[in-house]
Amino acid sequence: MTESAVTVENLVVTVPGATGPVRVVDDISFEIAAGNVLGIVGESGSGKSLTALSLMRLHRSPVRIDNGFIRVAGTDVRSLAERELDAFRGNTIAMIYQNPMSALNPVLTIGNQLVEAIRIHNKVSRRVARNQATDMLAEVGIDRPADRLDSYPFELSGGMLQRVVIAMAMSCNPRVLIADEATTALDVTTQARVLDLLRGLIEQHDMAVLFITHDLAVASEFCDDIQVMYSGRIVERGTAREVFEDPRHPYTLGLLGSLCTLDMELDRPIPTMPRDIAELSRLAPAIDHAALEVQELR
Amino acid sequence: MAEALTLVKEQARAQGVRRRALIPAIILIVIVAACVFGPLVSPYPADALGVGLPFAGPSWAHWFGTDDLGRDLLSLVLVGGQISLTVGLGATLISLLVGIAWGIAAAGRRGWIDTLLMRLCDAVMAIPQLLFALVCVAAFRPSVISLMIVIGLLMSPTTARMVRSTAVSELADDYVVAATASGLTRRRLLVSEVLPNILPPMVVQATTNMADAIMLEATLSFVGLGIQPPDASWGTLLLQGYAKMYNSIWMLIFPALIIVVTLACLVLLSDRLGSAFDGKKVMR
Repeated sequence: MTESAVTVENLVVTVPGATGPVRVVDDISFEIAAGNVLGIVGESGSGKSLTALSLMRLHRSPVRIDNGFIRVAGTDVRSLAERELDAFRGNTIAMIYQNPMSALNPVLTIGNQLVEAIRIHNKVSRRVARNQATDMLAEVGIDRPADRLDSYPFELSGGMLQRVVIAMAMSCNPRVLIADEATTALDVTTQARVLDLLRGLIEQHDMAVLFITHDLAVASEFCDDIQVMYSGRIVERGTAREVFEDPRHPYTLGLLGSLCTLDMELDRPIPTMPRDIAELSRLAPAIDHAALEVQELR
Repeated sequence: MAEALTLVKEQARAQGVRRRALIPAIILIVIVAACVFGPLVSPYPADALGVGLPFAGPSWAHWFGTDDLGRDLLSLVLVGGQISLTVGLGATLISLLVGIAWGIAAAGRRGWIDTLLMRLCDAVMAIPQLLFALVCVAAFRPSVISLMIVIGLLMSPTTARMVRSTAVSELADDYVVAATASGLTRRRLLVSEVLPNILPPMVVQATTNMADAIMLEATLSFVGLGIQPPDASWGTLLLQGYAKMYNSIWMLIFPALIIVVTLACLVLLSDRLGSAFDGKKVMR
């Protein structure tokens, strides 16, 4: 087996609480192989984003990584010094944000921002960087890219901006890409196009992708593997097909049950979960489809 | 639909605000232009004695009247304006340069450096401005340059505080996190990402500072520690007019009037620019 692009072991992220640190990401481990898309689904506050931010050590205090081992493309992330982190972020690992309107600086042209992103990690002249930026915009499917460089973010539509953000993330050929709700702010048709684009880029550049979403339909279409998170823990994991066609954990069942179709009764009860994760773990242990198969084979 | 409607309303409001900001701006431009070009076209050189009768009231020949030496008061006000405005502008620039560096350094570093810089701010602001300026100007011989520096430094803590608070709130924005995620170092983040976003409130701050600076210069000159004769500024004219108040009130009224109008325009401009930029923030 080849070494995976991302390895996370026993990650614990905490925030200080009144009665000591609260574990918002609670002892999770996972791997992503190059060229693979791992989807993390779960409700708000389940620790999806905090898990992703851990890979880049982007937490703001008082949130901190308390324990665990994180390796991204051969780099032990937790041992990096501040200065090394700057070189690591954007170069080895890049991130696409939920809201492209706020992820770009409103007072600078997108050309300016792209050129800067390129020049952070590559010592090239402005002119060369500008040419690269034009190529990148063309690669993400923006027409008349040379003209668009002089546009300000407010002059472009959401879909175009997300393409710009993707171009920026791809500017240094990262090995790992984090997409945090990357298509949530876009309308459905734009969403589909942006996802197609991402798919192409992932295959072309052989990147490992951590795809965070609460849109189950998108997750089932786009991801190779799925992890369901609840209350800081992974409650079920497997390939997209396994998790969506054969959900085992009560939380996953509830999550999938929350999807609406038109023929549903309006006042049907909504499946609920125990609030206390300890109780839930006692009722239903976490499910790993890979391990299940082994068991069933025996 | 409702959203589109509020957007339209918002735009109309912003446009109205912008139009209203135009009026004080135009008056200011007229005053500045008059001070710069007026003396060139005036039939009476400001330093020519006896171009009219001493103590003559306003007339068609001398719009603002004449002073005790028969000089044309309008020419004096315009020439005095050159110095007043120069000091105002210079002090404003100094206060912005020092204040922005000060505030950005505090916002960027946080921790004990932040505390130190901001307490230093409080300390400077706690000293009565006029008293501090008097002592400084007295210590370093009053001149246009020393006035600019003293007044500029006096106003920099307020600017620094403003810069810091704006920068701190900008630093919490998504695009800053995004820039950090793409590997921007802290220093470049502050200079090339945060700084451009701080400029709009700084324009507002600059107009306020300018008003303060002109006021402070006039005050210092009025008590005799500002611009020294034979140079004249609005403050020194006010001082001379004050001495002759009982027999020629216009010598007091016109310099006072020009100061009031200039300050009022600057304050109005700063206020309206402030709400215009605010509207932009809402629209974004």
